Amino acid sequence: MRTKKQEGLMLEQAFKDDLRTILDGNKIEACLQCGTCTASCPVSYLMDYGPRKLVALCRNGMLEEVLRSNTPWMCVSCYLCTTRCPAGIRITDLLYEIKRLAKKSGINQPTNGYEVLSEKFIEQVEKYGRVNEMRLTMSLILKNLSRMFDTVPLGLKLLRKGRISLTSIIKSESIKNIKDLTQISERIKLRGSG
Amino acid sequence: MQKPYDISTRAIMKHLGADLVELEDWNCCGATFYHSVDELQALVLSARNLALAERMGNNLLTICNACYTNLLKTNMYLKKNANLNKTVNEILEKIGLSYHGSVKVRHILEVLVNDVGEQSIKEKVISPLKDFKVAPYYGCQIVRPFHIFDDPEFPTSMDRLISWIGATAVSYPLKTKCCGGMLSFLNKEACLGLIKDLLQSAVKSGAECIATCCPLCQTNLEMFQEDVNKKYNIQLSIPIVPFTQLIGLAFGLSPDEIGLKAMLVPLKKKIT
Amino acid sequence: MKEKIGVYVCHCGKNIAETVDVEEVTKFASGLPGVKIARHYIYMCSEPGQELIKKDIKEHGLTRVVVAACSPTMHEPTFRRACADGGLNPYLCHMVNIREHVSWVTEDKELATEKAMDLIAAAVNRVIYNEPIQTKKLPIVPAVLVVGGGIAGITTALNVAEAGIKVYLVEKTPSIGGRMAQLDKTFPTLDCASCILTPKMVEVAKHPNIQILAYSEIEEVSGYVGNFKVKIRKKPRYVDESKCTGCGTCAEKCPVRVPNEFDMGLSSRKAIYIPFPQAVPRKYTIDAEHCLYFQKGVCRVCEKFCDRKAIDFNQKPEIIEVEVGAIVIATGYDIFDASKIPRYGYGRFDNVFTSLEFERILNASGPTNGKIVLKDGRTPSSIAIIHCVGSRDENYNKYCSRVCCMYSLKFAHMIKERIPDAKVYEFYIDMRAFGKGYEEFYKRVMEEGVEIIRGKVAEVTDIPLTPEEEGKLIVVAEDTLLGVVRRVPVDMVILSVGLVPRKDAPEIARMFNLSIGNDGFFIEKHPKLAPVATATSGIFIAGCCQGPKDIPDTVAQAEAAAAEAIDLISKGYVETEPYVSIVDPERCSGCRICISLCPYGAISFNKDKEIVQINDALCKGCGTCASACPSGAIKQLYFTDKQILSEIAGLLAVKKEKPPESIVVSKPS
Repeated sequence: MRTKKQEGLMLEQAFKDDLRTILDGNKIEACLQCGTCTASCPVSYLMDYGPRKLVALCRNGMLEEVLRSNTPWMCVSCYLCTTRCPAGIRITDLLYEIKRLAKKSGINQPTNGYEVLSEKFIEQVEKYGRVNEMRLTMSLILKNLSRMFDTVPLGLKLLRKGRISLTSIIKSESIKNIKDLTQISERIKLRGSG
Repeated sequence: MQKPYDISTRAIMKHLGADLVELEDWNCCGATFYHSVDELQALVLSARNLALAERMGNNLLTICNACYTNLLKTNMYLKKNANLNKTVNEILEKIGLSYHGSVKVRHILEVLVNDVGEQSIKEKVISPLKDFKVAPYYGCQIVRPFHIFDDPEFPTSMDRLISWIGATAVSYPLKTKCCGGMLSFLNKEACLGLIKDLLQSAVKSGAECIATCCPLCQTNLEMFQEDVNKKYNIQLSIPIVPFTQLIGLAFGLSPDEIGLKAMLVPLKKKIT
Repeated sequence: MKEKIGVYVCHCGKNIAETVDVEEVTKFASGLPGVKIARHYIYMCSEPGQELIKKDIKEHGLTRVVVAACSPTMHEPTFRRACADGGLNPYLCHMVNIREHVSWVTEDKELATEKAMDLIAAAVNRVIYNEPIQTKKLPIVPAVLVVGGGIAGITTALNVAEAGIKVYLVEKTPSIGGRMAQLDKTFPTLDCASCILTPKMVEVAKHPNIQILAYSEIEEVSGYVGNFKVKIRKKPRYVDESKCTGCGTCAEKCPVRVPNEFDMGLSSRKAIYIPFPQAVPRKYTIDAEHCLYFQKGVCRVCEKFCDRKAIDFNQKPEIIEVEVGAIVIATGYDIFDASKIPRYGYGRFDNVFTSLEFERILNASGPTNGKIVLKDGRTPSSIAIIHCVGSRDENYNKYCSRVCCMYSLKFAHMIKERIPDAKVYEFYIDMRAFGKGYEEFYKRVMEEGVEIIRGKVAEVTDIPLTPEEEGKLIVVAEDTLLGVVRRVPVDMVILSVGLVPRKDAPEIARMFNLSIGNDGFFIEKHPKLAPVATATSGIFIAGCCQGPKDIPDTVAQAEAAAAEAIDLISKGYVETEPYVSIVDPERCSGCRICISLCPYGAISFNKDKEIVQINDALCKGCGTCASACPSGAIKQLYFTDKQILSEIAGLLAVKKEKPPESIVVSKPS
């Protein structure tokens, strides 16, 4: 059994290693803490820390706070912070990395349903190779993420306009070489454990 | 759900004499989700599409901002990181593919503005959208993080394109502000605020419609207009259309050819 | 062997000795062929260190000296002088760089020690073939060219002229004065910029030793230290300077209005104009690009009204050739183009101004007569000042522009003085108030009630989210000390734009053979010890062309450049480059390939003897001719084939069991 401290250290090492491999990851060391990112973020008001403080926490080695933060899970990937950052930090990519690490660490993140959406989306890709909005929405309704009642009027309207069809939910057409994607997943899982 | 964008793109490209070939057996690039789970898998998914295109000997055209960013990102990462390139190709090899980095990734907007160009488009315009004011909405990922063909915050490509078809692009400073992206699935309430700002600002600047160039932007702006009205107790009713539909109209294509009737808020009579 | 070589290994305190085993190296050196004595010492450049060399030359009859220490650019002159003092021709001394090339680039002591040994072995093998060479003394032209008529150029010109030396002051625009003339007050003392500048401008105009060449540009530079030849193109003013009294009737009558560049386009001037009331020389200039006569062939109103008949539409550019001994470049800076950051709204919103525009607004003779007003004439009740626009940003310029924090604070103070009720906000990342009296000024401004917010502005928008924001410019930034994103509605925004190199800096650099750094500014010879000299001897730099700086630093640097120029000229002579090429008349075939290749025009053909000859006053020792000569008739002193090949042979002589590649490759740090 590893102690909690040991696990913390291993995570820290994994984080450092990953930072080194993501593009310009080391630049967080040169963050000016100017706040351009947080002030540019369209959804920073939903975040506990916001990108600037999150970078500060990363630099200070306060990894547990980082991994428990809701900040990365709120990110909408609009990349405004990234293109504006005067220190050249790819903040959006850093947030992806934190999400990956949070998943790896098993530390509970306060989640806004991102997990479920992400899981359902990926499930669709792996099963069919493509994503059908109807199927995705249905699966979310089943997971209680979207309230059925709310979506009915819009759904009916879309049906009337011919923008969606009910058959696409039932008809499970996948790409020809769906086994390609299965293979890819397996290969990557194999690498991950090895 | 984004059939109108799809068919209008195909229709105008056909009308321009361009030869679009659908990438056979393409897969979803995973949008932003794979990046949050496994970077390598995200890259391999896009690399599969790139490899398929390379095998066909074609460049890759996309009409979606997120696909555009993912494909560009994959191309760049593979170019800059030799180890990664090797790993990705080892995985591709298992499914009988390989990728050598030769495919250029293009967005439909960029191709229309820079490759087809002003003259060719103007030549095809038979019913210019005179006196029609359009708010060009680019969304985020078409210019960020990679700003290859335009400014990362204040692009002008679509503005120009709109003027070529006889319409007027209104000054729309929110043109690359976020529509909420996939957050609309998770936190619709938060997104409604963003969408309201985008819609209201367009209406205020006198726009009679908002033109989009990304399926997700189109979805968020079009589908949630009613919710915005309800939440903020306002009465917005501005048509949201893929920009390719406007070009189709100017080219004199029929509403059916470009999927015009499927839009939730119909365009004004005077131009249709 | 008849040569007796002395080898001296320097510790440079710990700089070398910490990484290189100097004792081992010395032991190794003493065993090399021809080495009579080898020593190591803590500071070879010190007086006792040099004394060692001198003493050994006398006592041991040394005929060659090798010093293994720092870079030759640092101390080669020191050790050559020591040898000369000891009675040895200075060029029989050779330096080995075991600091920059060895100890500073690796932490591996073993490899460092080995590399030091190899380099010394090479030097010892080479120095045997060094030959005594002599330099010549050439007279110097007692005149100085100053390029740029801003506060730097003005200061240098006055200092040099006061020393009794002739100065040619070349200025591109119609008047001297530069950027400083555009400023209102200067921080932190709040003296009025023109009150302290214009007396100096007048002094320049009156000084018998200064010739102002305004509205002129450098065309071509040739020659070398002490003897530069400069061609200056005097652009036509279309006004005879000797007749113009500066009365201004012409401008009064001129019907054409043009944006006034001195007011950053915020006001207009006429097509015949002086840039500002205190212009020196006070001579009018016709702007041919906008003049009706030049553009459409009609008008000539100015000519009609000029009593002195000074208007001359037929004036042509004039080339003036001058000879000078030294050159000072003081070409100044441009300001960062704020429209490159569209999110700050410059060019999109009426009431977003750059700092230089705001200087003009503040100025009593500016576009608003010193009244702070919005474009529509209203008085603003709130103003935001945004720091670091285009500076400290990887997307634009990485460097700090050094003056923006202070002038921004000055703006806040001036606004508070003129509109006491106005709310003033400063958005900053780090407050850099480093100069004398600057921190005190910062405190003073804080106490005046200016709101100072730590956060880089994300954007300026005109899209309101609340009723209070209607009709305002909203400045969005995170107050990073509070951790809160703020939207501050204001009437006016001032962008504190950074300083950038002049657009034509690369052109100037090419003409004067200057180097340009990554930031685009000219590079000084040494960042600490030679801050105004450049890699080209006889050419100095001063002011913002070397990097952003405030007025006190600019003036200090300008005076330093003047001192350097005076120093050079008062010496009376320059020593020629010793490493000149020489021609072996026996082997020269007269093919003349070298003549076309020589960049300095130093080689000519002797028709009588049918061979080439080299003027060693002009030869810069670049070696091009020596390497190009097909018959091997040209050799460059100090870099003869024999010397270079011996050096290589010494380097490659294998004397250790390890394979050579592990010896010469140093580990990357």
